[in-house]
Amino acid sequence: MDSILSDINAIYGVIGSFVCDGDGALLAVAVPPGSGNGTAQGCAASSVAQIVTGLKSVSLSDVGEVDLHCSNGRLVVKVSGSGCLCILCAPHADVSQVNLTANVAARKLGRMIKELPKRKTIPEQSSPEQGPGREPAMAQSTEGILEKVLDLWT
Amino acid sequence: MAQKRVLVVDDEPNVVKTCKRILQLEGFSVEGASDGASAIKLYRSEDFDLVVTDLKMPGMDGLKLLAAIREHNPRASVAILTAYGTKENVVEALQLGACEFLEKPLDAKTLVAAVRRILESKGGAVVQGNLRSLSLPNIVQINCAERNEALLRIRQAGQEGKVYFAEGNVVHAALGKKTGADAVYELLTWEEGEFELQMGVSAPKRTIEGSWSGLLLEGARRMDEGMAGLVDLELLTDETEVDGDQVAANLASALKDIQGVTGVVVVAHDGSVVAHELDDAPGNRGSIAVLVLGAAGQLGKPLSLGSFSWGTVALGKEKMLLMERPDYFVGMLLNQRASAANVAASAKQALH
Repeated sequence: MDSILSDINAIYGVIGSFVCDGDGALLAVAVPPGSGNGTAQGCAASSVAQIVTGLKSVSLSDVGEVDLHCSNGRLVVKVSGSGCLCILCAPHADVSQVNLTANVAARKLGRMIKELPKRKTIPEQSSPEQGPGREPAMAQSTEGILEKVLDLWT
Repeated sequence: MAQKRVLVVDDEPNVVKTCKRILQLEGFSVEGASDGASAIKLYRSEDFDLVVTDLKMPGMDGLKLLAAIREHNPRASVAILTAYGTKENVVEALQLGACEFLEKPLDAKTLVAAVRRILESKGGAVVQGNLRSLSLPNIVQINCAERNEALLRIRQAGQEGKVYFAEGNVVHAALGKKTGADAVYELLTWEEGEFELQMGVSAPKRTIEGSWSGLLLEGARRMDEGMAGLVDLELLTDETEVDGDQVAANLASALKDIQGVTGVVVVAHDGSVVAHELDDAPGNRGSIAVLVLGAAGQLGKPLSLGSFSWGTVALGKEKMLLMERPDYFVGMLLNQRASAANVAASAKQALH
């Protein structure tokens, strides 16, 4: 997985990338310092997984991609099987090239995640503001939204 | 000099008859056709220097005729007649190789001038039109997607702006004393103006770095800021009570009018659908908007990507653009050819 992420990170404008499974557990991370700490990526992975799980519940079609544009960059999430490939891009990133590489990579990663015998996750680093036993606020909030949406839909 | 031959195609016999008469009086040899099928038959059997065709015709419409003619002769000059202010299908016509857009109703002087201009510039790969038919964001998107090296000139009220394209981006622009991105931001505020796109022209220098989509979004943001004062003033002077649902319905309708948008859902933060412009499943689409937008706002900052602006979700063949305003979440279904960045830039204006 690490070599796939380093191929993606070599694309012009890509800041970093990480992979998580359907439960939001981080499986591989290649993000430089300054793009959030381990806890931030763990929280993001958890939120991404919950968004994707929610989308799979409310949509009749396959979830292919979620692309979030922010003021200083964008987060491209490629969904493959039960896993998600998350790519952090700078505003000037060549996204067509990112897509070309990431679509192939996401399929490979999807197969790799499926073949994983036992979950192997990257332990999250605790930040000073957040104790290890405390549930991330972002994940709690997303979970709440998910529940609300599923309530509405059912 | 050999007499230039023009083929006029329109399903309204009077339009064909009038155009033929006007152009014949100016010395052109003109044939007419009342539908696409007979026009393509005529074009294949005889030589024409220019085809002027209506866009909307029953059976083979102007776009299909344009595609068929360009397939037969890739260097063919085809001008498209469109109704005043119509933007529908103009992008597709430009991509198919239309050389000019003429707005109906057409007066004799404009028709003759356009036909002369096209025939004189033939071979120089020039595309002409008005921003009313094809907006600057659309022109930028097409030229960047096609990686054209080209010069776009836009004229309005005695001013001329220039925008240069190369390597899939906007690389230089000038308007009066303004150059670079500032010139583009100013040009984006022009709602109308004659434009001329000349292919194969290199930029004299590079004054713009970064992506074309970022340039358009920043332009839209600046326009929002510029309009914010006016909007506040309107709100202060508006003494009538505003119905929230009506505002949402108007918003949905306005967003549906954006080129590339096929459906809209406006949903409150609690998940209830406030307004929609969809044929089916507004609740389902509304849930998708709430689900993604509810979490998106919290994802950017921890990852050092800054504050959330807009997003897209691809579900099967469907693509939904998602945006937020203080009271609502908005989901817009896009057609397959739509540029999400372009629609987002236009939607930002409608959302403020």
